[in-house]
Amino acid sequence: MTEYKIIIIEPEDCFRESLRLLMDYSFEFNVARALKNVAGDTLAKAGMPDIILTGIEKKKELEMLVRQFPGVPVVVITSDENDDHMVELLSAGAAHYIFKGSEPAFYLSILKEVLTNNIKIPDSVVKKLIRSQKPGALPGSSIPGLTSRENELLGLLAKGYTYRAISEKLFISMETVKRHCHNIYKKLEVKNRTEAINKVVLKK
Amino acid sequence: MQLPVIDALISKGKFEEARSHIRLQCGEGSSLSQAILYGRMGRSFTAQWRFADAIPWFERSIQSINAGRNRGGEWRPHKISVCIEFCYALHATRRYEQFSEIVGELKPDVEIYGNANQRNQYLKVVYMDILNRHRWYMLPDEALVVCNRMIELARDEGDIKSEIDGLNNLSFTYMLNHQTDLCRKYALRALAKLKEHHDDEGKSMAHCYMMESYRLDGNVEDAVKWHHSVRQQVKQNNNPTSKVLADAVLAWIHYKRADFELSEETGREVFLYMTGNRFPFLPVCSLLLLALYLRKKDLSACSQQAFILLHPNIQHSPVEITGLLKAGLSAYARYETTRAGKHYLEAIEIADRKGYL
Repeated sequence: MTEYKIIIIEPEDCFRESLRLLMDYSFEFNVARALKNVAGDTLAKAGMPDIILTGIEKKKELEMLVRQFPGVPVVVITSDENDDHMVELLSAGAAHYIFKGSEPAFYLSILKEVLTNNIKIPDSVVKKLIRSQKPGALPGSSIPGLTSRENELLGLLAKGYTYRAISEKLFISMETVKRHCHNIYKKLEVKNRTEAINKVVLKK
Repeated sequence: MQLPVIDALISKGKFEEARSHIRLQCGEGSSLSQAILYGRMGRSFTAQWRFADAIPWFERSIQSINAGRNRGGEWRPHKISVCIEFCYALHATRRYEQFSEIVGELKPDVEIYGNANQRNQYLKVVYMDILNRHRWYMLPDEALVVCNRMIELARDEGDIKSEIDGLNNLSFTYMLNHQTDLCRKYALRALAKLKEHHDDEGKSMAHCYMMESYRLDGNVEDAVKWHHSVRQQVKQNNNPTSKVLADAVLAWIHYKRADFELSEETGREVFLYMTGNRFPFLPVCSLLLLALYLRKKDLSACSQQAFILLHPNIQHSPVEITGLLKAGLSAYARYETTRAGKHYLEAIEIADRKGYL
């Protein structure tokens, strides 16, 4: 049975402890760190997790977190169920979101959806998300300067695949995925997946 | 194959030495010999509670048996033993789905090839499977049938230890089903049998079920009496499960005596111990803590208990209670604190009325 490494970032002490217990009792997640905020060295020392679960909803902080962990899906816990807010979170780089008042089983199923690349986002949110983006090339077209393998990987990144999902799909190790991604970011002169997609797919 | 040497080393706790012997002999002999050695390797790890390390060895052992040409006769009893040991390792690592699969697959083999001891061992894992599937709450008649079969089989074989286990399981089943009179009836029968056979763990369990049955009845006086006897035994045998269950009842006794501060202190200790060891029986302290935090109007702490009580791997609570906990959690997340408090209060009132608090 796979045990996923997770980082929890939640400002409220009691709720952070609840999330830690949720993971402990799931027997599928190993909590690498449970932190109050994104600041400080502790987060940097946590290493690369498989997924991040956070109650941080501020756009700038969320973008910073996504940049700090390229390729790692970030799932945001929110008390605001408004579609526009969801669009904002997804635009900032969140892989998915969970309503704070959901029951534990729902939290676990959303995290699994993200990790297995089987994300189901309501149509209303997807439509608003597409409208919020600038039109550009679709994933799959070849980008000059990248090898065919790198193009293939970029297409999968644009489709929202995690590093783990890419390694499983292409039958290559996580290390190889990371190396390819590093080369892609270097060639595109970007720092992370979000910037790469924005540059190539959405042509921002 | 030096099986007696390996077994002796394992039973003496010389696990590394046992494993060295096994490694030396691996690769020699028939597939069956290999399968037996792999099984012993698994056993050497489970004896150290290293269940995750044991699992691949049990898997290899079963694979060797399945790959062998002659899969009938002498192979089957060995497969049954390995599969039962494998089940315990799967259970300890909470791989309940795989556990359930193995239990189902093993049934025909046990019926045809199993000896009396293996049949009894198998019934124990079947009972564990029922507990897991029903999340230790309101077990179906199937559980009673299994317990009675265990008792019958043990009596036929004159196996008092297994008879005590069967009686205790029967008592436990009635306890989970809130049939407290029957729970006590079988716990007392187990205690009577314990006069013929010394079994510390069996005695501890029977006393715990007596204590818990009185708690469920709301009978503080008798719960206190049995609580004392459980504590006495804990002093002798230091059984951590009995200790934590006794402490949970102690927290409840303080609550019933309106000593809320002491109740919270004890309940919190039980909660920390149980969560630290991933015990599934959290309702025994979580509902109490929820009631105590509600008295202090600490809705954040209430929500923490509600959240953990709803976890799919925690013991079930009645649906009326879980429904209210979900509603409370949802209201709290929407900052509707008055409504959240109301839902939690209703949940606690039902829990109290039904003997869960």
